[in-house]
Amino acid sequence: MAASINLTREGPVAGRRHRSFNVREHLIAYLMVAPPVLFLGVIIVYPALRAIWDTLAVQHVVVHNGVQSVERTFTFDTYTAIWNDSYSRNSILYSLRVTITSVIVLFLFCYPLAIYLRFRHGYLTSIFRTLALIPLFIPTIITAYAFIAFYQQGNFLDVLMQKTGIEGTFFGGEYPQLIDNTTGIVMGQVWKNIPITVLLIGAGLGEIDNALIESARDVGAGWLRIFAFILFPLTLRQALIAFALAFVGVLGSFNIPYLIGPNAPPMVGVLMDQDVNQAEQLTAQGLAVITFGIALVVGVFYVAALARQRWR
Amino acid sequence: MYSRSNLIIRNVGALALTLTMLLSAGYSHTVRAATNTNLYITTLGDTNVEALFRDTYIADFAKAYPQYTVTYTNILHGTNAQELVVDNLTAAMATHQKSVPYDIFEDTPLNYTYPVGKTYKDYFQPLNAKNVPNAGKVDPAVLAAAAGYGIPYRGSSVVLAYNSLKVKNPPTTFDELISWIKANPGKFTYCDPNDGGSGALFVAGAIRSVMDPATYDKLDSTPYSKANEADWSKAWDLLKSIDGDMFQHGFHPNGNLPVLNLLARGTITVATVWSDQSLAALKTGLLPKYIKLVEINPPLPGSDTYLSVPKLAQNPAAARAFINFVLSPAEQAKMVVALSGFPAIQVKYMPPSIVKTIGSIDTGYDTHFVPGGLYYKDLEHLWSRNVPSGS
Repeated sequence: MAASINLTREGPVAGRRHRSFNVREHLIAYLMVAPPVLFLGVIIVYPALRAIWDTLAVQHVVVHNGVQSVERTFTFDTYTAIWNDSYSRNSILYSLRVTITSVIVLFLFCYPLAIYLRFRHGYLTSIFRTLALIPLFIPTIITAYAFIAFYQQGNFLDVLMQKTGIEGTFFGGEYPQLIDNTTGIVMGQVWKNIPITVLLIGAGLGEIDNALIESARDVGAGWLRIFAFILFPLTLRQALIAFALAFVGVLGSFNIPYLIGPNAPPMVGVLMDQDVNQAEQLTAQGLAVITFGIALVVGVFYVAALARQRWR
Repeated sequence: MYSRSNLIIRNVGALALTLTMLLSAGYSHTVRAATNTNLYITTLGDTNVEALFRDTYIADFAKAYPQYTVTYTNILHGTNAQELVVDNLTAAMATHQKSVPYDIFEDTPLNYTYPVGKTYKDYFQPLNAKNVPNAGKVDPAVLAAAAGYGIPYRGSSVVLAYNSLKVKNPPTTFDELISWIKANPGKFTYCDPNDGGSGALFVAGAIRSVMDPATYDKLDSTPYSKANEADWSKAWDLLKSIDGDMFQHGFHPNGNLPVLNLLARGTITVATVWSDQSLAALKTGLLPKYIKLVEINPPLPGSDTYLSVPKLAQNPAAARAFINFVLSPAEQAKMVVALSGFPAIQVKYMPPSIVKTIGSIDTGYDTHFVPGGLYYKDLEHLWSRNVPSGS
């Protein structure tokens, strides 16, 4: 007797065509989902829509026959002002650059780590597994201050390098600047995102049968081939999720660029803080809308890629 | 259902109820006005200011003036004070309220924006040496900075801190400081002006050094005008020329405290710092004892924190009594000990123990550049775009 597995789209749904629509079940489901959706709507969706509206329909005071009133005019001024200010423009482009760099470094670091954790076993591996999860439990601000304590000039690493003579022989007596520049931001962001990325990719790798790898090895495939043709395609879904999370997280981050980033150009989160402090609320809102836009593009790409994945 | 007698009873009942409510409202209002013992104070400070008010000022005030009941609130760091206080006052005025439960507000009215057509004079009451006698002990220039609508109660100015073990002859003027920076690369830094006043007011010193004195004086004596900023580009050139000689080739830490940390570690040997923050740090040991403070000549700007009274305050007499009390030498001495700030009253009125600790650096500060004002915001805005490498 051959068992047949129905993998077609119609399979699970076809049988239900003639069942009545069970209102009560659906109502309970929607009621349970309602509180978080409403919360999201009020806390995130409404302010975001409001920001778009306020920056495009700008309020200003007009005087008609000696009577003052507030009117809104439709204008792109908020955004042209941001684009014309080279500091703000550079900040947006810099944020994109740093985000892409961070995500690339993150994946270059996490994929090998996840593969190592999946295929090796033993005491050392379990230590690495624990270490990979530690950043999840450390708040970002503590991370940033730890980076300062370790990597800023005059601190731990600098003194260590001086005392062991490394600084003299390899760097000509000067401490190579590791934080308070782009390197600092990338290091901090990679550190922060390691746990989620490793967990996600690890989950994907866990679903891969060892037999697949073994049979590939049997026909003589090297590790690079195995990665490119087996591991990567089969973990694509998890990698996409990790990519989207990391990208949006780094793009909108504040603590790490503020504490261990360069003075200029600032990342977009830091620039928004500067604008609010300088009482330029509208510019900050405009920057926020631009950030939403970029994140939205990534989000759409991510959802589309995931959707395409499902039907494989 | 609605028989005539029923209707009459209902109407008489309604009328009686309405009259009772009207008359009782008027009655309680009169009673309240006769013995108003409430005082509402709002501060915008850090936890140390909150402790000062709660444990020292209000506790002592309750002993000296037991008839008052004080309700105290602190808006931590003054976050959103514009909305929380000023916009609430706007709303109260729009709904024609006669009084609001805000008697004392810990900021100068000049730091806020008001609806078009209104100024701080519509929102706050005038305060001067006539209705607050102890205000006569305050330096007139400092008092004038609030345009007669605020009384200072503590101050701080930006001074030079230096490591006395490594720096034997600290610079005494701004030009000497610039030369020192060029001669000692990597040993000085100032914080990002967006994040700390100690850095912003160093930049103000640079601006002062390139402006002609007459225009510089205009910064606080005439209404704000961008024309007065014409020479500021020279200041950016000056600061850019020394930026490479800063700590880490031009890195500006993001706040007043990181600069103190760098100084304490010995990584830098000279820095501009807030007097109250560094005196407090010296006291707690955050800064080692060999870090000394000195004022350069002419001194860098500083600021006082002011107390103001809204126009609609429900108990202005009590508010003025409190402000006067806070300005008494005894309470000012307690503030100096608790916060290490400069007293608002001139140091000559202070007890000798206080004069000994701060007399040498509490000699007044440059009042032309007002922290938090409109030129200050322009300074922050323009510095970021013109000075740091990468901008």
